[in-house]
Amino acid sequence: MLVAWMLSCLVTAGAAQQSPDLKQMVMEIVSACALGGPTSSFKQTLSSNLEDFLHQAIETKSADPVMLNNLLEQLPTDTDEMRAQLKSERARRTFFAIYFDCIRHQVSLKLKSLGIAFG
Amino acid sequence: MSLKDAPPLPGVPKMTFVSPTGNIAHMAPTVAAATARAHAANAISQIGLSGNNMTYQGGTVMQPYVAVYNIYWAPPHLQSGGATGFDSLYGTVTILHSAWNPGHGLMNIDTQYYQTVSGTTTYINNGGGLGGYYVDSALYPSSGCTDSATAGGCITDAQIQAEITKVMNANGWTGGMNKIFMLFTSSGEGSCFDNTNSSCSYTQYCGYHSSFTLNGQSVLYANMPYGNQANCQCQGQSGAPCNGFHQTMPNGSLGDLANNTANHEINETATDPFGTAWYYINLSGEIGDLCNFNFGTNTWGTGSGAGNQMWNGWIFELQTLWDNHSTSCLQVGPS
Repeated sequence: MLVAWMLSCLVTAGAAQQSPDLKQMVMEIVSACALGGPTSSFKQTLSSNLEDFLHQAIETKSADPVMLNNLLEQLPTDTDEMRAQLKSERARRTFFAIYFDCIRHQVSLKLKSLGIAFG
Repeated sequence: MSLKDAPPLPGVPKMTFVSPTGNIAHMAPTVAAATARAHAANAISQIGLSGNNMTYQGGTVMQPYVAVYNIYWAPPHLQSGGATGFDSLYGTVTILHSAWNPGHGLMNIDTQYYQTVSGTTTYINNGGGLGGYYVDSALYPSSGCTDSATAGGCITDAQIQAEITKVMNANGWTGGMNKIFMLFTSSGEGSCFDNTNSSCSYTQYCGYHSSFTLNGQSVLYANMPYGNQANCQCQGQSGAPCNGFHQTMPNGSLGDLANNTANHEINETATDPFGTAWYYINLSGEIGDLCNFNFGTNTWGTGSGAGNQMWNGWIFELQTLWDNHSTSCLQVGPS
């Protein structure tokens, strides 16, 4: 009985050790791409969505690039304030393409570090 | 012949340094250093030594395109504990500049310059864009130098190379002759080429380009100190190089001033990455040096929002570059 209890404790402790800190991972991803300016307004939404995405990736041990793209495309990148800040449609599209490329790259690095295939 | 062997100009701070590994670092001067250089150049031209044009020295240029990687070093505070950061549009204006400098008319000036390697001549392509970017929030290392212009902290070229190497490894980025890594440091952080403090930001330079080797590949890079109005902006000073010109910050960010330096470094790296390709031998200058703080006419926008380049709805204020064909500084080229 005691041996079984000790084994159970060991398994639980091992699982807890292996479970990545999702909030920390998301913070590192967003921080590595933090340009300020037009991206500041949706930082919270992006962080929350990335946490869900990574959680699911870890649960299923797989990650779908299309799902990440969908998540990024749903962010509000076309507000009046952003249009004013970025001055032209070409600039707005270029800026967010660059920003999302950075997020995708950082996500892929995190997934790789967890041994999860991505794309 | 290498740029490091070109004779220094009398009375002008040395603008080309050699690292312990033998690589050259070539500085984009402050307004004061550019003024000293202009006076010396004028004196030399008056005694008939001026030949002006860039000459080819047999080395390589960037090929086959120019991918720019921006690295922002953004720690929570300086080594001294003092405040530091980037203004709210700094990232936006510098990212868009790096994305668009390759491919626009200003870089088109580079296309008249070439390399001849093993008998094959290849001209520079006006192509490329942003390869990627990364924001590093790690603390600065202990100051390796003393920059009289920045009390809060100072990093050496060796510390800059270590940071670029760290970021490249973290991101899986590799070197090569088609990439330049721009390291932007935050406000209040200075730099000197080495711990002898012989050449430092804001007193001698507003930025510089250099190279090192990583895993057998060349890493071309630029040190990009924070935009600085006191030392890196023409504010109507009389005489060359400013000639009374008021250099604008058309997007209202100190990143506008950093962009002027970035433009200098990107295009000098494209045409002379190792100091062995294109430079003006008598004045030991590269394609940007002959046109330091020469902006031509601001034909876009008005007032403080005016500038001399308009790319995709954005106005930039960027120094001109040397055009051998017309023997002059141009905004768009080649003539």
